[in-house]
Amino acid sequence: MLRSYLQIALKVLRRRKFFTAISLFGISFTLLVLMVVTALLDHVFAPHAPETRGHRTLGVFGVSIQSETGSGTGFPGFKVLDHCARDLPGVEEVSFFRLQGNVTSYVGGEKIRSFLKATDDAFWRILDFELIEGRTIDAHDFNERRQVAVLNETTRGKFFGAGQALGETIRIDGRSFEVIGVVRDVPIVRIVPYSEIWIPYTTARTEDYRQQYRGDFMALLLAERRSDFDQIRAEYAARVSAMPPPEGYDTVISGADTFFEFVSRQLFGQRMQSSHPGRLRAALGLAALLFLMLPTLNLVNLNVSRILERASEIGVRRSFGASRGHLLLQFVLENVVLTVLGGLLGLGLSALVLAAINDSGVIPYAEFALNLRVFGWGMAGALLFGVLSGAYPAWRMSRLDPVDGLKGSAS
Amino acid sequence: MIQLNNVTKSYHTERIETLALDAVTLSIADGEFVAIMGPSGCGKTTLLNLMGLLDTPDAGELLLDDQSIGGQSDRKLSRLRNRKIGFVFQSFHLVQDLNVVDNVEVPLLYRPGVSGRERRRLAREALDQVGLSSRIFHFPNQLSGGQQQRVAVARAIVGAPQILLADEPTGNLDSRMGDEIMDLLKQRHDAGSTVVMVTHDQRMADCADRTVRLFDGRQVQ
Repeated sequence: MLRSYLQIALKVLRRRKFFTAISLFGISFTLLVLMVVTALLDHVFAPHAPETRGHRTLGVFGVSIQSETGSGTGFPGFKVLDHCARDLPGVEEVSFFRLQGNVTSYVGGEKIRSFLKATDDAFWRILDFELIEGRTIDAHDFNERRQVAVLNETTRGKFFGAGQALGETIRIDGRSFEVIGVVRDVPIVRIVPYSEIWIPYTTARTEDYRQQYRGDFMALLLAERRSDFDQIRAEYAARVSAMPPPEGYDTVISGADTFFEFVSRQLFGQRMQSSHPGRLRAALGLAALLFLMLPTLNLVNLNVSRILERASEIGVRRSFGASRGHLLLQFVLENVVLTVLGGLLGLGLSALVLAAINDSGVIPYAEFALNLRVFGWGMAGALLFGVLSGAYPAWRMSRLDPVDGLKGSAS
Repeated sequence: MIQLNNVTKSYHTERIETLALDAVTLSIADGEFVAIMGPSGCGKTTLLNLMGLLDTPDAGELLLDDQSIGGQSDRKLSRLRNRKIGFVFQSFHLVQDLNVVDNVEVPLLYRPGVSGRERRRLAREALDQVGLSSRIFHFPNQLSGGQQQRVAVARAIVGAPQILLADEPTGNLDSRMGDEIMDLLKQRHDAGSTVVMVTHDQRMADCADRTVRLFDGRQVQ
């Protein structure tokens, strides 16, 4: 019977081309937006290469120092990380790194702007960069303050074209660095690993950074097991609260978070005191639901008005033995077929749009793709959409009195 | 086969109550061909809807094969309609989105255990009986009124119901097409079906075994 209903649904949709086209446009466009947003969020928050150990990695991404009269919030300074994030129980590896922003170089008189990140050697062990040539920064480079640099593939091209890069020297803000390795490009939305040039942070001109509570550092904490997260968080928080604040301030606040938790801490945490990942998930879910509601209500409206057109059909089906349950199933299925088709169309369109974003360069090194997780989200969205927009009209249709249906009145 | 005892049915709007049937008692035997006649608004269609289990009486009793219909669930009534009753309507009521053969298959969709292949075979057979086997993939709007009504007859007989209920089946047709439809109904009657037909046309009513006349919701003959 289900097969017959499916066939009927497809026939009805084929016959009602205008309605089908309008509905498919609404569904696929809504899903397109959802899918693109989901792909972006997935790319920012979910563990993708080089964050292959993301499931057991915490980070320290922010700090807040507070007094009675005011507070300052920003990236952590080295002093806080050095005091609180080293040798935490359950942590297998810890890395500190600096976001140094854009730097300038000149090649053959041409100005090149590159994003620079300064790291330690552990950074390269926690993250799993795809090495194209040479090597990455090791303990020797770091401890000996060697002026070496790792480039991403695109930056390598900017500096050297097709020529030799390894062993060559590049000048960054007036200082020389030897190129020791080239890694595959990482999209800008992957905040932690992203850069175009990486150097050891021990090559900084001064060591003033060592005294800073707030600065341009972040830390990565690779746990032995994910189950160690709570213990690590608690110990880090205890050390931070016991840390003497800088002069003129009363409190230092910082937490060990996943990146998602950190965003929730910034959005919902009172002065960053706590993270609220549940609240952030709920907010994102609510936003998605509200976004889905608009086309859903539209489709409900379209479907309800279709009752008027199909009243006679309902009367006929009831006359020939369809129960209310049969009709409910048939009309819900019809809508689910419509929304799944819209979902598939939306998926195809999303793939095109994501490819266009990748090619456009609007988001540097974007590699958005419809992976299985995003596909799952999209189809779940389509089904939710189908059930939401189909259930009420189907219920109303199935309650229609057969005699009224035959008369063509469906009010 | 069909027994109505003191059946009353009225319709309500916000302001008025219309008595459609007033204590009608009627018995229709197995294999009988009965015509129902009367002026517009006298309750003919209401009577047919009650016999077709599409509506329920306000008072009185309706029996089908000696079984009382009162208080039956929607599912049970649907099953009875599907197994025992076929409808032919004045305005054909074909599903415009479905082609001829799909329209004829509709009653079999709700009959468990009938495969898609079997449905198609039975629908083709029914269309063959009404002389429309060459137009099975046409859509209703591609057919004449007479052809549409023949499709409707094929749909009514495809499930081999014992009872055919026809509500002014020739009302929208010219006399030649009307005669063709009457011939089909007579064939079903000759094959043993019980046929109940509402009509305004005395010539059509003359084809029946007997005529029941209604006036203002009452049986007058």
